[in-house]
Amino acid sequence: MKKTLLIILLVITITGIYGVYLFNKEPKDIRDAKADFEIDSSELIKEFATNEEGASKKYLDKILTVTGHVREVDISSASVFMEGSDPLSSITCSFYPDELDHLKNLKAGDEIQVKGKCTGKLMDIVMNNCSLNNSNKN
Amino acid sequence: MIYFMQRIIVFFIFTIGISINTDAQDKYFTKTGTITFTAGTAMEDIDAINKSVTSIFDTSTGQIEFAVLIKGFEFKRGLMQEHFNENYLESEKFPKSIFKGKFEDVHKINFKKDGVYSTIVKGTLEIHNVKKEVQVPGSIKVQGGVISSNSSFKILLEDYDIKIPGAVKDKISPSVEIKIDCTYKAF
Repeated sequence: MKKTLLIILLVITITGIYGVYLFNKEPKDIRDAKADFEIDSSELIKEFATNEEGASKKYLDKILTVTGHVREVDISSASVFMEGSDPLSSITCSFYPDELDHLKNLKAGDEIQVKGKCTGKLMDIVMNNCSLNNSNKN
Repeated sequence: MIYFMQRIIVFFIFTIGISINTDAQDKYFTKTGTITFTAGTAMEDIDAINKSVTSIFDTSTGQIEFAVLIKGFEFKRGLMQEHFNENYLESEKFPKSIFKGKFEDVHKINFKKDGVYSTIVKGTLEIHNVKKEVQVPGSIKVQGGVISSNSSFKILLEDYDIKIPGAVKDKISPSVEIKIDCTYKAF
């Protein structure tokens, strides 16, 4: 009798601890995750421009590794805008704050590879939780 | 006659040139504005930030627009972010939130002079596919030629048809405080 009580108590404690752990778990670090898609910036912009609904279904919430050229770096917001073939649209990449150091040496025209989570399209396609590919870091 | 036509052409080029110039000077935008919100109670802290807010501001008409992607809000806790997207804001169905409005007294702001100008913005706020007329306080800051907008206001979740299940009613506040901070660049 005592034994069953003890087991029940133990199960409750473990579920409780696991519950608290789950509750407090941080969102996953995109840097540690495997990319779902590898794509060129101009290709991504083209897909959204020709079929926004289809592209949204395909890419939203997915982890993308995008290759393209830097249009502009905005240090104050830790963001990089990537060129596509269309001068009017680009990809806004919002970086993890601790990635900021790696952005300081980037300049317009540099070819980079950015990994991040696609959150959708406003004027630009937006990627969140971004980081640079190791070969672009210095 | 030819001389006259040349004059007209020159006049047109000149006026078109000026109108393009003035338009360009009056329009400002950003793609990296921030929106934060606080929806916690004494029981639980809930806050999130979005750092890729797009905003366009026309200083001649006072018209201002904000657009934000719901999936771009970052929480400290992963589960909250999931529930926010899947259960409350339904970001799959309604991916963006938009505000379109106008400053009441934009002509009173001197964009060439440093300072903080308090004002009222009226417009339509769309969240969760519900559009509502709102009037919120805001301020425009001019510092060294750089313009930024700031606003802090509260909304009621029920106004936007966002339903909170009974089990978490005491953890999520029915009124949510939203803060907006955008620094603009000239078009």
